[in-house]
Amino acid sequence: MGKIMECGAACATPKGRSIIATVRRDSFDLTPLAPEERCTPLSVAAHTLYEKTRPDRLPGPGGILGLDAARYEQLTAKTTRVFGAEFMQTPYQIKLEGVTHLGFRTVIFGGIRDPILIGQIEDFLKRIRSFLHGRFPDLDMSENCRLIFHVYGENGVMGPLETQTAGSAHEIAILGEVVAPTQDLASTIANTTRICLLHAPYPGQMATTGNFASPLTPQEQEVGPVFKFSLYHLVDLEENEQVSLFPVSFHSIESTHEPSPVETISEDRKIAIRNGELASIRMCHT
Amino acid sequence: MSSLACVVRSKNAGPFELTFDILFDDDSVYQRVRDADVLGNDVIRRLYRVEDEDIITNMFYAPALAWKCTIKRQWSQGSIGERDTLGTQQHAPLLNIEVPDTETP
Repeated sequence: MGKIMECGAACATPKGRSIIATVRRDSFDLTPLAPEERCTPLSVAAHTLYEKTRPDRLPGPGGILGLDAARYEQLTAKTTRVFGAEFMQTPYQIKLEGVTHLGFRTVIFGGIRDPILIGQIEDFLKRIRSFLHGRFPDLDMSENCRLIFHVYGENGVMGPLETQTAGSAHEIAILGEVVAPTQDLASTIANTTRICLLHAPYPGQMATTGNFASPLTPQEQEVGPVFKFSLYHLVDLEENEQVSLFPVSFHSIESTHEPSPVETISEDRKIAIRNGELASIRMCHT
Repeated sequence: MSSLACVVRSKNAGPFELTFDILFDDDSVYQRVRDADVLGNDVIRRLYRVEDEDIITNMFYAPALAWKCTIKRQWSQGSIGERDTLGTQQHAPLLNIEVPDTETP
């Protein structure tokens, strides 16, 4: 239930914000609050896929929730009941996450509209990189000092996963990322990179004033420190350490006056909620 | 696929995995896609330039009329060289998968 409720009424159709769960010994019921929303067995079951490696095994500290026998039942027009999931206990483990400081990053961003250059952009970027290696011998020799080009219009979004061949874009954008041990060095390399992109010659060049359309000033943007994941590990705990490591304390908060109704909900909205109707279920396939 | 499915999406499943979901809203459509055998590891390898050992999960899940596939992220999340911090735009190649018509007797 927690895995579903942490996303509010994302498990409803249409997708909503607020939801109430009623927990029983062997089941829980999900009811979205907005009048037009409902939870259906399909909309709830579908949510178990969300951001998970697989939908039928939901691991957590101290056990794995197995959904092989989970059942979803339409209880009322708005409410779906879930039952039958099985919690399989495992030795208690907690996840430890941590990062390593890689250095400092400066980025450049700009567009190219000249078709003569777009047609040979890969070679052009290779020549620039090799010039930069001569100027900055440490560049690309370690993960703390690197230049990465993202070519939008080619494979900017998917990078190595992209399988569609490039070639038809009438304009492209280039994001150049530089990381270096100091912000100054990152900016110096980024500046030299940008000047190369702007003024390096290429075969068949007709535009001799510049190659790179920069939308931003300053044309190098300092992004600050950059990190990478270096710890993402499960740690075995000693017996009862799951309690001692995370102490729980209880506090009682008392009000000095009676609660008053929320005034930010307009009268029109209240009427709309009172008279609202369930939205029809959208069928997708054609 | 884009005319048969309800949802075709990608997202991170933690910082080292990328997961793909395809959801249907009709049992017969779900069965047609499942039986057409168009979402096997061979297709994922071809669409995403990955190897079998990069594919962590590739399964159908009947309770949600869904297909799910999870692959290793080819670069870890949020560092230099990141292209899609939340992994929400890696689904597009799945949209154009062709699903043959159900065979009629």
